[in-house]
Amino acid sequence: MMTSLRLGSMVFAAPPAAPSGRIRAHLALVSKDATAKGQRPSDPELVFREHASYVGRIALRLLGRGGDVDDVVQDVFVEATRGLGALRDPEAVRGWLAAVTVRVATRKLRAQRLRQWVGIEELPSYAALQAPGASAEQRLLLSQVYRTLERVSVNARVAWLLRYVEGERLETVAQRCGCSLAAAKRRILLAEQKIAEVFSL
Amino acid sequence: MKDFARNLEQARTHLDVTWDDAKLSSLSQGVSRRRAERRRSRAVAIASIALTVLVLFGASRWRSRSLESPTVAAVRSVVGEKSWKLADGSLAVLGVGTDLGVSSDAKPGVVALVLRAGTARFEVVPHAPGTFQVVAGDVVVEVVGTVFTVERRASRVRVSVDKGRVKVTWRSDAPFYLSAGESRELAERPVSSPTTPDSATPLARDEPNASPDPKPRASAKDWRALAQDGDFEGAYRLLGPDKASVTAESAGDLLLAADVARLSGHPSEAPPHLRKLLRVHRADPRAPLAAFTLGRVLLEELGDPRGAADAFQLVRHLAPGSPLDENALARAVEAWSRAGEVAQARGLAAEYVAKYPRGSKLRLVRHYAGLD
Repeated sequence: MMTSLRLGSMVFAAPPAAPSGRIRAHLALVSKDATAKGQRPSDPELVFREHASYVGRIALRLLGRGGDVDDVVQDVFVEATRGLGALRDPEAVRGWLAAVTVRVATRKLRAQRLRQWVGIEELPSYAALQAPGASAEQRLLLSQVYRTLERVSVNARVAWLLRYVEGERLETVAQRCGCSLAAAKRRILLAEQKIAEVFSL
Repeated sequence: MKDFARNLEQARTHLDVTWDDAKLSSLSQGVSRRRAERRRSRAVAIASIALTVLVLFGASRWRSRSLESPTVAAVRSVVGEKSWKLADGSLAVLGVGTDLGVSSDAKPGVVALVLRAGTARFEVVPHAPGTFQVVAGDVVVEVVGTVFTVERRASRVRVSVDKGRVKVTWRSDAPFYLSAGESRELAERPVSSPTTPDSATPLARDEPNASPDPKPRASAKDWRALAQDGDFEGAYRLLGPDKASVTAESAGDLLLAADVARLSGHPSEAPPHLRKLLRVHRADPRAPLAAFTLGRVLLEELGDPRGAADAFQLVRHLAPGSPLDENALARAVEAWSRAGEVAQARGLAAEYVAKYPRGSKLRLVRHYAGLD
């Protein structure tokens, strides 16, 4: 059964719920072909199909819990639809989506902190971490890391996670966070000190 | 430290999402749903802002319309003169005690002003859209691009045209036209045309020397009593055309006699009384008022702007710094302007602007001196 998808002023025919591998390959080819030809990445549906998992991964690594990841991904692509037409370089889509994801996730983490502060939300538990394939020790380590990062500012948390969990370079961290390189280093250092304190490093 | 880094490096690779196409489609539909919600919210916000702007704009328009051209409320000039600029740019200059309003029954495209009492001079913008009418009792004056004056005193209406041409409709008679320099006085009962006076009711008073009153003159005391009661026509009839009864009277009597002449529809007979007052009672505190009245009669009713300018200058000479000074200076600018003496008008206008930078006649002065 076909359903329609509306993004911006355009309406797309959504693919079947589980498209065949051939269709997936075609979608990937169309997108890569457009990128190769230097066309503007203005097709929101193709951009979504190609980058949704990447956005989801960054959101998961910043939030630490899977519950809010869907929310963040949808918000990111709603914002992305407005700005896609303005992007001239197709190669920039990925970086731009990452920056939007950092912004949306940061907003969500701040709102979460506020709810915790006024007492309408419990401190998050990272026991049920979404890390398929991870060993028990690895799950324990990750949940301890996220619990520790609850004790530093949201900015420091996000910068540290981008640096050590997402594995970005310092310059990229600063770019994603929308701050200077010095500020990015300072934020990472703050989180590092707390990690070192908790893990007796 | 190295162990921590190595363990974290291995563990972080498991922090990833593995979404199938069903999950992607579900997320994609969520995106489109949120996008629609945002669009709706934005539309509501824009509509709210637009509505607020419209309401504010409408309120300001209503306020400016109510200030410039009230639809039903009257404009009343009780003390001093007052100018009223209409929405189409036309100007109405109201004399003392004038009661002018806007008709609420006017048809679309018709600017209909109602003159209930007093004198108003109209400067109608040429080629303004619609029709411009002034209603004074039974008399309807219809104009397109002209300058004219309508005076309503008791049962008489006088129409004087300075520029252009007006169409006058009076009762059910055929309309007639008045051109620049012409005037006509109309009353409750049928009156004459300027060329064929009606001997029974000689109310057409274009001729300054016309003798309207065949009735015998009563005592001087009687005319004063009637005038003080507001019956100027009765007072005029008693006073008679030779004015003998006030020959050697006081300044007060001379002022009253001038009022009787003016307000009973005989403005040309007012200046002799006023000039006599200024000659015989020059030191009287009422002399500046007499000079001002003389200026107004000459300017507004007798078409003598030069004489009027001299009279207004005399006011300033007799009462420098008095409350009349500002009005006299402004009227002198108007008089010189109407006499075609632009340099004189501008000189006095500059004096007015310097002396009364926030004066109530500033707009009028700038208008007559061509400073706008």
